[in-house]
Amino acid sequence: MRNYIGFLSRMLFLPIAIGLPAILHPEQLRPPAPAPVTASIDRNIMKSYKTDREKREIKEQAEQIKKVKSPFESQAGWNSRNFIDTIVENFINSQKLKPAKLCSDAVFLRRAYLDLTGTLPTVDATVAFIYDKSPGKREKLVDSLIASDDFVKYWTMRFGDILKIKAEFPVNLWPNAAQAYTRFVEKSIADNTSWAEIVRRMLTSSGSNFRVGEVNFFRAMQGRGSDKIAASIIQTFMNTRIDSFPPEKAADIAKFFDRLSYKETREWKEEIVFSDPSKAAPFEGKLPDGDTVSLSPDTDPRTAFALWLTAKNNPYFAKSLVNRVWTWMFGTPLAYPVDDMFAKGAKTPCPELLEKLAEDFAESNFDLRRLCRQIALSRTYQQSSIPSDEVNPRVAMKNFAVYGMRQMDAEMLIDALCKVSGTSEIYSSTTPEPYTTMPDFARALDIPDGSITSSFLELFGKSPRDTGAADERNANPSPLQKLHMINSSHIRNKIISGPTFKKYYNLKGDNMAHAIYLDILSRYPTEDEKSEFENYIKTSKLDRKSAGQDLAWALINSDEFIFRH
Amino acid sequence: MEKKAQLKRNAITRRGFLRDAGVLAAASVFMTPRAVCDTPKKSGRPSSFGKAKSVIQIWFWGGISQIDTLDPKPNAGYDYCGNLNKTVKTNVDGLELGQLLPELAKCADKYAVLRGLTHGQNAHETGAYLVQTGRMPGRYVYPCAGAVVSKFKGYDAGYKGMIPPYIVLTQPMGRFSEAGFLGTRYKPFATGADPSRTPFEVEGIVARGISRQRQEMRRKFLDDIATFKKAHANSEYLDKSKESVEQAYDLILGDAGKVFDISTENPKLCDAYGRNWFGNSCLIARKLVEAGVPYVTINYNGWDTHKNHFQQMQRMLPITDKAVSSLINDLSQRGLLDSTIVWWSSEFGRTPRIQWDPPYSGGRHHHGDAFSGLLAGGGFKGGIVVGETDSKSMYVVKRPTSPSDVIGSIYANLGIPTDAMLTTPQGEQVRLIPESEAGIKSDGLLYEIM
Repeated sequence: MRNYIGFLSRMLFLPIAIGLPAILHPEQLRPPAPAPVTASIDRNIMKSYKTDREKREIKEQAEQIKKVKSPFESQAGWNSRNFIDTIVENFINSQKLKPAKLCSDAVFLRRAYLDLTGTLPTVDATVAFIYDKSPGKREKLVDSLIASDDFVKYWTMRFGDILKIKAEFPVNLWPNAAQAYTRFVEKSIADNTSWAEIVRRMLTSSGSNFRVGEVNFFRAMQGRGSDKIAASIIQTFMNTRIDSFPPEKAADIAKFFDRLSYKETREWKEEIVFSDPSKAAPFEGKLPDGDTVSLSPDTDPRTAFALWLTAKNNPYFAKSLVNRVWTWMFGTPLAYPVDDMFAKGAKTPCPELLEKLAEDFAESNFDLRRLCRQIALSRTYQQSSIPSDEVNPRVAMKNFAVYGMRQMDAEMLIDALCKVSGTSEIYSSTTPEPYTTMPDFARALDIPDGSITSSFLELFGKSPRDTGAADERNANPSPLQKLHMINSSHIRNKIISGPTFKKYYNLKGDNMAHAIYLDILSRYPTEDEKSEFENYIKTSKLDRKSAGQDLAWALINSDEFIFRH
Repeated sequence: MEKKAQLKRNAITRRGFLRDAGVLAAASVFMTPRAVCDTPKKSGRPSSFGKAKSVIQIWFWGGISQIDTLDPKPNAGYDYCGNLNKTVKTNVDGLELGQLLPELAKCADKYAVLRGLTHGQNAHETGAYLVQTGRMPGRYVYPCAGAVVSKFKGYDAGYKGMIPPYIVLTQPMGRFSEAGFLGTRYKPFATGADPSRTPFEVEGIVARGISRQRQEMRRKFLDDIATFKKAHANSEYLDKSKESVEQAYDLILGDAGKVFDISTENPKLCDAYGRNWFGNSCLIARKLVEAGVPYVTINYNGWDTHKNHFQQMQRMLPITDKAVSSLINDLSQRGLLDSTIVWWSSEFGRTPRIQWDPPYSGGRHHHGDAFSGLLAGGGFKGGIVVGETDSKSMYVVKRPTSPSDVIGSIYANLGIPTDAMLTTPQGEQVRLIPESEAGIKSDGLLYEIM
């Protein structure tokens, strides 16, 4: 009954509350700036070069870029850049494999954007990067991406999956609390807070689910009780499924959380999470490594457990996150199953790589950005997605001898489609409550609550965030997805009426193909591709505009667009 | 033998109907209204087990009124009947329906009427979840009936059809049409578009303004220009993607997609179905079942008639009457009714007492205590009424039937044992159908009609 009254009182404010979008960022309420579509993209580039010599050089370079036969690969040699490469080079040799070539600049640009920020580069950024002649340009790009706001948004989404940040069933955080939890994660990533500190804050937090975002760690699970909390910790931070973990050790962990309690407030759906002082007593506990802990009544046992978990030499903590981040970026796990990596049947192809990455991560005080940077700058990460001729492609993939190609995640894909066409989407929650609406031109990446969704996101396998298991997200292609991409009115409308595309269809000569390729695939078309397109215009007898639409359609439906490669 | 006697008991005779109505009208003054059933519990595998191959679920989205359709109470008075106080005699002795269902009345021998449905929930979401999963919201999000059938009768069970095994005409319901913890593989394929238009532009299968010639041209162009795919010719990484594209094109360009095209159907038959959104949906549902699709849901919106209820009934019930009766007769004539279940379903019924005052101006609200349904074909016997409400269709007085009784009976006729287990993502084994849900009256599977 009290909840109901709370609901009614909330209803009085509904007109205002409903107007509150999920997260207010005024700059996101505007449509994205259209890509530069001047008569000639090249001419703009030319303008930025002053001397005749520079202009001549850049023109020659441009000619070469456009003549490239394979736009995906660069040279074959292997120059180790950091400790990752030394280990992987030895490992690949020991497996009698041959590494893939270095990926091309265009591929690297697109890959770094997607893996670090979940978004595609703009046409501007693409052209500038392709023409940049400075030797350290890949490093410069990685640094700028890691420092960007999109990096924060993207990694917030990634962590939102494993933390089960979702308002409605079956987790039932409720919308306002899901937002608060997301804000906590987002702020932590924006501040580059150490991963150890983030986890300590979550595990020792107390307060309101609406105000202290991190307490929602104790609510984002099905059911209540210290055994559930232990299972959630073991799954989230120790990458072990509860059935693979010794039950007596799980019970030991649970004991550290026995004092945790929950109480309602008079605010609708608000809940206070706290360590109950009435349960204070001298504490005798046992850590998973067998060490015993004795605490005085006034110490919260949670603190002792959190310190053990986040210590530099903890056998699970650093390895768990390093494996997740590596898999999210490189595609192929260091140890699999990712969320059961310490179990008996789990496989770790190159244990040294996992060890050293974890060690390096712990030594850097669990610095997430530094870890991403280490990975992105390695020659290993910068391999092409095309395996070397002499090797078995599946074996090469498992053993880090090729970049782990996979389909874009649902959020990335729809954001990419919106970005290239200049369109937007509507996202909604099944429960029409306050804090569940998204402003126009909000991206899927910005969604702070797993209950806010769209049929596209569902079709392309976004994580339901029900259990936090790694395989909840599903990026496998299916015939229904292809039907949607090839032939649905949803995609057709973007191609025909997308404001950015519509401008391209009026461009003369090669500029139309250049613009469409740069926008969708972040590269120039090859000579062969241009002549294929010219040939298509001729044989199909379509007008240029319709042919342009078909080119945009073909590129959107190409594996090159749909996959991260 | 015992079963036959029981069937007779449940098949209401005209005399019995009137007598009971009178007795109960008097009794309801004194008794607490929720009477308990008097039929003996039965268990075990019904004889109709495994007779059905497909289900056509008609979902009256919003909650269809029971008192104006399948459970008429002509003597309840103006405040309950409004101007719909007449009934129509059916071809089954003693069974009468609301006056706006004359066509359905002519084929009542082919379906069973469920008048004892009850779950007591008056919220759309909870009601819809309950009726489609058989469960109260709880720890897990359970799959709805369509997703369960898709799992037990779809690709996992050797279904080879090009058309996805679980189709929704035309829009999914969101949470409650979903696969729950079974995941995206078991989600329905929603057609989108408007089946009353020609062509019916099924989302992804039929594209407006794109001719077949251009489709074929574009497909070739997509292959010609696929530099990346060519570079990956030996890598195997794109195999799944290539295969999926081919399957998609089989639907777009092949014959399988023609199942959504009703232009080749007999014009007289199309007239009978009604040539409108719902009629065409029913006709397409028949074609899908004929093509072997195990589960089709028609999400028929517009039944949440809080306001101007009677105008809506006058408009929508004749459409419904024509289409559903045509569907049942058409299936029967083609010999498909024996293997196809037609399920008339809704999240709840509507309040029998009419709210006359503005802004409702003759409206009916949500009513989960008593509502009605219909089951035809696929092993269910026709011409039988199961369950009974009081004289005003307020409460169930005989044979209370829970949502899981209905779903369980449907599963059984499809050959899916009701004690079959599902595995949750957490690895827990859970029953397909709960033993019982607290607070919901149930009298077990519908053995009376199985």
